[in-house]
Amino acid sequence: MAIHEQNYVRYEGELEDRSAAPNIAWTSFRVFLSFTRTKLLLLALWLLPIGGIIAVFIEYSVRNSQLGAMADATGSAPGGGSMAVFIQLQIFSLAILYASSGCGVISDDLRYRTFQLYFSKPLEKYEYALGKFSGLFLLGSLVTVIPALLVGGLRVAFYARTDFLGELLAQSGIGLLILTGGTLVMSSMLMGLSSLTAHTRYVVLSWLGVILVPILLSIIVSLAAEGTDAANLWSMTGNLWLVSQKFLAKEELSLPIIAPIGILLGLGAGGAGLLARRISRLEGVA
Amino acid sequence: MLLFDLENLQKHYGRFEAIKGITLQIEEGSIGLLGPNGAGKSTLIKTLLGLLDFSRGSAQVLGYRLPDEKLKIRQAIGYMPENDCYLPYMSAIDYVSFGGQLAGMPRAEAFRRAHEVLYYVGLNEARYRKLSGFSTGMKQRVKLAQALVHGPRLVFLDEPTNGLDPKGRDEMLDLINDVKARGVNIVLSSHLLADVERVCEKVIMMNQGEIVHAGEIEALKDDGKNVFEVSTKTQNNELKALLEEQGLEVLAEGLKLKITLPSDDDGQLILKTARENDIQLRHFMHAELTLEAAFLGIINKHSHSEADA
Repeated sequence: MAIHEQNYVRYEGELEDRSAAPNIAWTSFRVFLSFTRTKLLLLALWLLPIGGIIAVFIEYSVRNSQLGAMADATGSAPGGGSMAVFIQLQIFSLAILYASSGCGVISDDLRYRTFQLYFSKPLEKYEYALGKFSGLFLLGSLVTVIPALLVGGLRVAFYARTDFLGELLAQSGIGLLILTGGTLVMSSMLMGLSSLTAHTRYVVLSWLGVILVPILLSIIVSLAAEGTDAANLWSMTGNLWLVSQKFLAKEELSLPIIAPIGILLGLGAGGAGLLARRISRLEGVA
Repeated sequence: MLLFDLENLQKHYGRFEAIKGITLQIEEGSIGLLGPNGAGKSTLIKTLLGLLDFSRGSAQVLGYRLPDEKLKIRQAIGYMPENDCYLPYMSAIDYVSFGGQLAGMPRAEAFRRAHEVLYYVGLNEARYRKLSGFSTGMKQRVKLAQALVHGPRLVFLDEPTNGLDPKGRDEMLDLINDVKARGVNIVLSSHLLADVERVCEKVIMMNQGEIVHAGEIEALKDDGKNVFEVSTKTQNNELKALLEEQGLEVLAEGLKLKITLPSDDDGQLILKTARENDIQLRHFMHAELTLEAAFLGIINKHSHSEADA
């Protein structure tokens, strides 16, 4: 590999004083997508939203005959309960996608000491955290926000000339909001877990534990307490279920809605706290 | 333009003083940063990059004041770390252009420059390959490429020849000399003094958080000392002890002894001592002080004075 005859000229162009977060986000997102397992899993996980879209078409095709009956029966726009189920399924898809491809978001940087690259460049620690978080959120959005936009958008379009338009808009908006919020919370939780260790396999195990163990606890409590809403407070997915039941299916809960919202916010804040703790201790080089 | 302008720079970790009041002005050029493990080299580099807040004093790098202008400093410098620091599933071109973007280059420009700089370091044909498949020499080159991509005025190189075979080491040092010849200032941190000697004009020697020497390498080697290089058949240790008893500075380097004599002595003192003690000399010549000998001498002297204090 001869070097002498090569003509190297020092770069004299402009260096911009912009935030590094978008670059880190985009590069992280591209790295996630470069894994074959991510592509295969996304193909599999998109079967569900495609099913949802097909269901919307079926709903549209039978709309004229059923619409009056539905309105008479419920007095409100149809599909709130289905939307709640759709959100639950997409949240589980997100958990699977993150287990497969997202767990190394920080731990890989710890393992491969990539911090030395990042922090020798002109960026603040918060820009690194924000960039990584955004990259992970973009990945998660592929199975949460984008399907919600598609399904919600289609439903709004199909109900555009009915009396339910306003309610459908609100329903789709709330669904999108819950899925976006759920993705933010889960991304934050995963960032926190991933910043605890340089071993990505431990992050995968702890992520599965954080998702599955509370669900088991929730089931046990639910059986013991004869299906009370409070049982759902034990798990992340249960809390999201309570929120979507309240705002989408319009069900009255036996506990104040602030409880699941507070728990979700607490989980997100916990993840952010773990990440902040790790990053504040990094010195970057050597 | 001064590369570094440090005034009573101190860094404490609790009660431990990692840097003990360094005052230093270094002009542009190529500088070797030397010191034993724990001397404070890494702490100094981190402080100069603005990654660590210093406890007391003031510091300027390339005219930018720390800590207020730390991002300006990092934009103007390149850093090649000692350890591997890449995601193995990234390609070389992505890695280097990402480094350029982080430094503030526009995306398209960073990508174009990444090609150029990878070509320059001799990785043109491997630029689309994943970094996981790179040899040690290629990894060192790609780290150098990411440090150079944004056109820094100063490059910190931390053990750039680590793990390289003699040919790879030779090529890397040629490359660094070529970078230097193109007007880029170099700070080379290495435990291989021959590397420093080959690349740098000046050295900063650190020990126990202090700078024990800063200046030209040539001046350090030619400090008016009268040094002789001697070896015996089997009695090096005995001769060393005898000469030290007479107050001479004796340094064992492999199978040879480096003896510093008074400036007016032409070696007679050594010959006399050997003759009187029936020690057979195998090698006897006037020696130039190597950087290694100078370094060890300065570090030993500093350690002894610290112990005495």
